[in-house]
Parts: sequence; structure tokens; C-alpha cells
Amino acid sequence: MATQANLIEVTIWFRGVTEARLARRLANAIASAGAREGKFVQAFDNYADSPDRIDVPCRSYARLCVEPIAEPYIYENHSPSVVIVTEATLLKGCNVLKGLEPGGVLVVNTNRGPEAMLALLQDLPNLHRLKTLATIEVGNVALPYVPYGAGEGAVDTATQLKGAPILLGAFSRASGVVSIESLKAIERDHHGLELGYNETELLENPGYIPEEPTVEVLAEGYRSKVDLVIPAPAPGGENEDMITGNYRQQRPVIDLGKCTLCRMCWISCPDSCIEVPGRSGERIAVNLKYCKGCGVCWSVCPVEGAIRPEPELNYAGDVVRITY
Amino acid sequence: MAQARLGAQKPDKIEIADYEPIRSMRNVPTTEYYVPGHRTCGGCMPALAYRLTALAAGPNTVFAGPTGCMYVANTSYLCGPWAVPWIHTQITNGGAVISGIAAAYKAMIRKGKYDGEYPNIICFAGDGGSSDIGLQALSGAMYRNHDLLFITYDNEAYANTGIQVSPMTPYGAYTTFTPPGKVVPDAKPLFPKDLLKMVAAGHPAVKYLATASVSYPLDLMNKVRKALAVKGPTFMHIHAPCPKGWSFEAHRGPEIGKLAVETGMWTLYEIEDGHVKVNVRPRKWRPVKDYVATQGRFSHLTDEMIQRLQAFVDAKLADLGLEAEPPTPVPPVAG
Repeated sequence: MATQANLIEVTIWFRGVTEARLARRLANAIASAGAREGKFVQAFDNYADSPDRIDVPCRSYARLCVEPIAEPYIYENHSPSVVIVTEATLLKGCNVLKGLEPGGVLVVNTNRGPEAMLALLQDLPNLHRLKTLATIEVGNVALPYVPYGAGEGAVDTATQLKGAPILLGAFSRASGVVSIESLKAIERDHHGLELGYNETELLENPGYIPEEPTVEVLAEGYRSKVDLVIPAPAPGGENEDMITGNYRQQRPVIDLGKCTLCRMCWISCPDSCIEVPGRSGERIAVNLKYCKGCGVCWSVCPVEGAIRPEPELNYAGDVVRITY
Repeated sequence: MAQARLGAQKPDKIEIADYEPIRSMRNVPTTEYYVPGHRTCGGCMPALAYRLTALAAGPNTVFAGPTGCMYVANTSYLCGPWAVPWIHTQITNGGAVISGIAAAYKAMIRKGKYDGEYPNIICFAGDGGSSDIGLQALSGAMYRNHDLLFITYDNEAYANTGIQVSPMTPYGAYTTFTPPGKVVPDAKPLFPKDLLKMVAAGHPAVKYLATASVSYPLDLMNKVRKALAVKGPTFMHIHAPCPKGWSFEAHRGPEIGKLAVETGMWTLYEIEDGHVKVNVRPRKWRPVKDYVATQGRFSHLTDEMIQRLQAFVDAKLADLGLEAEPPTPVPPVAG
């Protein structure tokens, strides 16, 4: 439960670096619009996610309350009422409903519609608390990459800046936390706001059960105990405490008929995710548990079409969900 | 001539133990000691440099990691991707810590308290941790004649804290400390240090120094093996493109590293016993403009500024004697 009865927590999930400015803009606009409606507000980034790395799942937060916020220095939204996801593959690799308040709202940027998104949420323990699932197509805000400027606080892409009002409009429609009029006073792009407000696809009560059926068991996140000695991974093994498959928006698909086993992709992968014959299997393969989908393998491949990128959402499984 | 100066004061001959060079992609060992599972950026080339170094060095290795991306991103949430011993050091004292490790192993072996083989002791420091904040410890380690390898992975900025300028940041690059504006339109107005030359010129104990690039992985791994086989302190400077800091698409790291070598922004050479050997010499140097165009951090540069950068690169190449040499074909990227 929220730390305060009237506190509304809004969590924005985004991809590190490439969507960081978009997420901050959403959080700031929601807080600013709330302030115009006379609420006490906060907007900030999740401390534990920084410094953000390219494509790493990150969170940005807004909080609104009709009375002064009692605990302004808790730097994580533990029980969001509304969750905004800037990019749909985040649903595959992250527990985006973690701590969701009963009757919660989820807003996703996708062109695949709410039913496809619901299918990605089936294993999440808080699905029964989800009252409204809204989807809106903003376009791909992270891909194709365009220079986004160096580092934190740098320039952003035109796509992202156009995307913010559309997502805000969808947020207003789905949650009603702030009105579209208040957002219009903050965002100049009224057309984008209205587009988002009107075009949002809503799915009501996707798995919602008003009565709490069971007590939520918080899934184990990253290592919670501080040990003096941290066990090291075995040579040729994996670092099980930092599974990075949830970075991935596109996955490398290898055409074994075209592959010449030149090993260029293997030697160039920063995450040691290409497995070559002699290491663990007979054929060249991708370790999808850790593959970040950075694209180095398909860009160094000398054979046209031997490794091609495919949208991650075209595939059902293979991502280990990170519960942090 | 630069070559004549470099290492001219060195009294002893180089001593190299037997080592196994990696002659082709098939020879590369496949057992990883820097395993998957680290919170680096998608397409992180410093992580690739780490992986290749660990592959080449093998199991009997001790890493020291001064603060930087390759410490913070690798050890997020109380875990690490190393299958060999690794120790964090402060950003200032990477050289001092590996000196201590080297001295300890030497003493333990002398006293008969350690019966294993003397390990490969490697400090894997960023450009800030070696050319700037960590310079004194680096210099100390190189001076005291310990048997160790100091590697600088150079992503040309303090990337971990959000891309701040370092002495290795090239002229004209945007960082959060050097934004282009009305007063300083060229962003970073200063030219970078030449770290390899600094180490070579002032440290007589150092018999082997090399530059490397993640885009030439076999060359990099062979240099690591050679440096580890050399008795005494050795130094390597690895060029590692940073997609976040340099603003390029995550998949383009290897391509941009290669372009740096082809334009002369980075040169691959080694100094063995004072003799400079250039490893990759393109038939024709590509203009620096081609390199600049690939990265967002240079997007504000005017033709005049690019010309200034080109002049700096030309002078650097001339200093290495690269103009006078007859041009030879470029070896294939992967060797």
C-alpha cells in the first residue's frame, strides 16, 4: 500500500539513455500538471537505476497528493497507481506491475494493441490488480537510433519529443490523474495531446479482481543479502545475478544455412552471447538469457543476411523476467 | 625523430618468456573469464576490451579495477562477471594496488608460502584512472619494475558519471563539461595527452608498450599475451568506442573503432625495447571528416574545426614516421 492514503504514485519505465529524456519529460509534465490542479507533487529518477546505460530498463517517477507529501525522501515508488511503459518490450523482461495498487492503470506505447500486451503480463503476480490497460502507438521512440547527444541531459530526438504529448494524452484518458486541460497548459503540442487522448485503446478489467485473492509474494530481486564473500561465476559460466536479456528490443536470428562459422560475431560480442561450436553446442547459437540486442553481431557479420535482427515481441519466450 | 627518443635511455634488454600467439580466429581460446551478465550499455566496447583481455590472459590472472564504468557497471547489485580474482581500487590508485599485489606474490613465492605460478597481474583502468586522476599511481607502478601489465581502456571521457571531459577526450568533442556554445563553439578546445608516449619516455623499466583497438581483436589479444610474457612492467592503451559517450548507434562500435585507425585518429603500434613497430598502416589515410561524421559528439564542428583536428592528426602521424614509410595494405580486421 502507498505510504499515504491520498498519494498517487506514477512510475515510468523506459530504456536507459535512448529514452531517458522522454521519461523525465513525462514525469515532469505529469507533476507540473498536477501542481496546476493544486496538488503537492514530486518528479524524480530512480536512484538505483543511475547511471543509466544504453537500453537498460530504468524508472522515472512522479507523485501527486492533495495534501503535503508525508515521505518526500523515499526515492522509489513502491506502490504505483499508474505505470507508463515507453517501449513494449519492457513488459517482457521486467515486472512492471510490481507493487501495483489495486485498481491500477497501465499505459503502453505499442502498435500491437492491448490484448497482445495482456498476453505478456500473464505471469505477473499483480495482474489481478490491473483495472485498465491502455495502449497507444507513439512510434518507436528508441529505434531507429538517431544521435541523441552525449550523456545525461543532452539533446534528444525529435521522435521522442513528439512522443511525450501523445503518451501524456493517453495517460490522462486512461488514468484521469490529471486532466487534459492541465496538460495543455504544460505541453505546447495540443494536437499530440488530443491524439493520444482520443486514439488510446482501452482494455478494462483485463484480469482485475476487486477482492484481493492472495497476499502478493514479492519475487526475489537482485541479491538482497550483503555477503562478505561474493561467489564468482565459473570460467565459461554466467553471472546469474545480472541477467541482461531484458535489455533486448531486437534479437539476432542466425541463418545457419548462410553462416560460414567465421566467428566474427563471436569475437565482437561484448556480452559473450554468441556460442560457437566447441564451446557448448554443435552449431552457432545466441545466449538469449544475456543478449542485449545491441546489434554488434549483425553489423560485423560479413555474410549478407546470415544474422538478421527480428523484433523481440515476435517471439513468445526466452526472456528471463527481472523482478527488481 | 620520435622513435629515436622513445626508450633511448633504457639500460636493460627486453626479456620475453615463451607465449603462445593467437594466429587465427580458430586459435582463440573459448573459455571466457569475463562472462555474460554485466550492466554495461548495449554495444559497450570497453566491455569487449575486457572480455578479449580476459580471454587472452587466461585463468591465472588477477584483475584490479579502478573506479569507472568497468568497475561500476560490472559490479552493480553486488555481483561481478569475472571468473578470476578481481579487486576494486580507487580511481587514483590502480597502479599502487597492482604494485602491492605484484610485490606480495613475489614475496610469498620467495618465502615458499605460495606454490602456484606467478599470475598475470593486470590493472584495467579507464582513461581518467590512468591519464588524469590515476596518473601518479600509474607512473609509480611503471617506475618500480614490478612484473605487471597496466591497461588503459580509452573511451575518451569520464563515462561512468555521465560523460565528463578527460585529458583523453579529443579536440572538438562534446561532453557535459564541454558543451559547445557562443564562447567556446568548438566544445573541447584542448588537444588530448599522448599517454603512451608519456609512459614510454619517462619510465626506463618499461620494455613493452602497445596501443590496441577492439576492432582488431586478434591484434589486441596477441599484444596482451606478449605484454604479459615480458618480464617487468608493461603498458597497453586500448581504444574502446563508447556508444553513450560518443553518441552513436549501439551496433556501430567495431565499425567506428576501425574508422579511427583508418583515419589516423588512433594508431596501432607497439614499442618493444625502444623500437617502434606500426601494426596497421592503411594504404591511404581516410580524412578525419569521415570519422567525425559518425558521432553525435562532433555534430557541432565546422569545417574549420575539422581542419584543425586533421592538422593535429597529420602531425601525430608524422611524428610516428607514418608518412615517410612506404604504404602497405591493411590487414583484415579480424586477422
